Amino acid sequence: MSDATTRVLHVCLLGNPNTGKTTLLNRLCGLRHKTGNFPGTTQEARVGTVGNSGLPAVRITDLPGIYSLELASSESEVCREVLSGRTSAPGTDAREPDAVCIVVDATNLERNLLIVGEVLRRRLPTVVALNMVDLARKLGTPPDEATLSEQLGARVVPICARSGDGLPALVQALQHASIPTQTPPGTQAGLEAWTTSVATAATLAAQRKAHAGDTGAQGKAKAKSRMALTDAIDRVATHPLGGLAMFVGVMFALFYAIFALAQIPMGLIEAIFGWSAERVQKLLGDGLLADFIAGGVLGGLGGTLVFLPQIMLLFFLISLLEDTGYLARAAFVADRFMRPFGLSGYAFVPLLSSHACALPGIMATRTIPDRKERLAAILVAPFMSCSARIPVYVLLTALLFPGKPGQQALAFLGCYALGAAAGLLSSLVARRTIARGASRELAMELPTYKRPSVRTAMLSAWDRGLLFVKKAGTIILAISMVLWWLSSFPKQHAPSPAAAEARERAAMVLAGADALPTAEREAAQQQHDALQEQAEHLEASHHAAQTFAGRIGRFVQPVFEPLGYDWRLSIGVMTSFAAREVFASTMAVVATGKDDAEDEGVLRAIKELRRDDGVTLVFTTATAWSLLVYYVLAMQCLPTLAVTARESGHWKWAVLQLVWMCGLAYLGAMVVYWVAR
Amino acid sequence: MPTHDWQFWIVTLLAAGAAGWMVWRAVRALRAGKRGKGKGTRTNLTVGGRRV
Repeated sequence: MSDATTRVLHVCLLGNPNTGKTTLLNRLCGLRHKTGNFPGTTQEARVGTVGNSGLPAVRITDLPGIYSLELASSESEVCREVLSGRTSAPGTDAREPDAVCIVVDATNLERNLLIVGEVLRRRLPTVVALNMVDLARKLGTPPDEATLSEQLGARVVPICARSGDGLPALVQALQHASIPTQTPPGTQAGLEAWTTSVATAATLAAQRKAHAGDTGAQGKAKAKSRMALTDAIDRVATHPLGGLAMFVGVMFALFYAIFALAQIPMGLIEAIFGWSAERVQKLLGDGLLADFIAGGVLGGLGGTLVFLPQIMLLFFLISLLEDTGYLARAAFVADRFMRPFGLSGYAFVPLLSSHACALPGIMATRTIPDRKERLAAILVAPFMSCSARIPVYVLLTALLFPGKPGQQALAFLGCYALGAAAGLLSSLVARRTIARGASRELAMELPTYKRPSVRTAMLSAWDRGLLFVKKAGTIILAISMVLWWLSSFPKQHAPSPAAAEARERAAMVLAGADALPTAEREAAQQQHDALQEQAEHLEASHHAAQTFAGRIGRFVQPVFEPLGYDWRLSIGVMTSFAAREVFASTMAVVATGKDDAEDEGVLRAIKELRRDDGVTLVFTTATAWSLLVYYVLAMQCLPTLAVTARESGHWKWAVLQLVWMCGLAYLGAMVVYWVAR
Repeated sequence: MPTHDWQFWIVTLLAAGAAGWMVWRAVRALRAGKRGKGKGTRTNLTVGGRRV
């Protein structure tokens, strides 16, 4: 093997925020790192490798987006250190990069050239990737790459990171990167004048070529109409009230679509698990092993995976929405509303990220320049409804509004709104007490509206779905197996006195009914059936209450009694501290553990679950609302607490977060229960 | 407890294995949290030996 093929070139990906660096890295290296069209999505350097036969492989480090290398922010410091070879990603040698790839937004050349000039001054082998040329063509005339290359003294490669156009040429250029032949001025004023002259030259050259081809007028007209449309949408989307109304409307439509579209796949998943449980019972016959597989394994998995369609649909639609450029407008509107609560628009991206998972959300708070504001954002980030809460929301809203997707969507939207409101109010408290101070002004760039990429949205939905299935197949499955064992043993053979009494009453009702007229006989039969059903519920509850899970549940139940939870719900809430989704599988295991649950759907079995009296439902309207509020507000995630401690620098903040959120959840759920009962 | 039933011992073994795996996972997560190390292809950069 030759030296050329074994050598690995170290390339740094640098550029302004939101120029598509991570999209480029993902495309080049076949990775799926999170990308976003608002600044600050990349908070950690990411590494990927790309190679083709006969040439050196290229190891690419994607650095956070910055506007200048000379700023005092931690992101600029990281970039400076990497370029000077003083630091590198673990596992790689700390040395100057073999090449720097500066990603430049072709639709906004002049502003992007500042960092290009700063890098050129360092005399490192440089290649400029002129990204979004497709969009620049739609908006008018993209800069002329030959003129730009001549002016910069470095190779310029036009690319479209989203579609992958121009990437082979870029990789080749990186493999043959050379030191630039031009050096920009050393002073800040000189550099700014240089960016203007380079951008003007590249644009004028492109316009001259376009006029020669007679496409300039058409391009300008197209760009004008496109900008007019963007401005028209932005007049509503960034209006203080119109923007808020639009945001609520868009989110409602999104949730409605999720509930309406998920019905069929949900039914299908339920049917598959029901059929599988039946097959297992038939194959293995009566016995503990068959019960274990049907109730503990398939019951737990089915009770969780039934929510997979909603999760995948949610992330698919959110990705589409994000790709259009709308969410950046939402951040702009949010800045005005967050400011009175001590948070600025800088906190919007971390809080928005927390809706997928609080862990990246908390790490994204590193973009917040003010230390105290950052602490407040870390503390309130877990209030945002993460994807782990979705199965619980779906289960409870489905129980509250069966077959009404509009009302389910409203309740779902309400959960998100309650989480956000609790987060903002908690931030207000934090900023008035433990993290006093005013938030900084926000300056952000709004991307142009784009047609969303269905491929990106499908990848996002696939990744989230896979993550959920992995969790269901590991931690949730393990908890379901343990819970099945705890709720099955010890076996209670003594009959329930209450059930025996109900059966006796049922027999008495039917005795002598033959002599009665038809109408009265039928009424007696109905009463008999109701009493028999009650007796069965009493018997099941009697046995369940004697099991280990029943005993543990009854032991902790006094704590949750004021919230209206019986021992089953108390067990569900307790197991959720391992993972929130476990609540749904716990209820499924408890419900499908009943003898008569085999031919029911999991959701129906959960809905029909009765308390120890055999009459009252476990999930009443009051308890379902109370649980919904509890799950919106409670902190039930150990990894989040660990990250809070790490990012805030002390465990005391994680403990405060746990106590504050659980306390608020307990109080909120109690108030809701007592109002709704 | 149906200790005379061989199926009882199998399901007990499976449940105990699941419980043990959960404890091991929790301990590992706590240790990883203390060390501050991530997983996968994400890489943290440091400046002057300190994470940024």
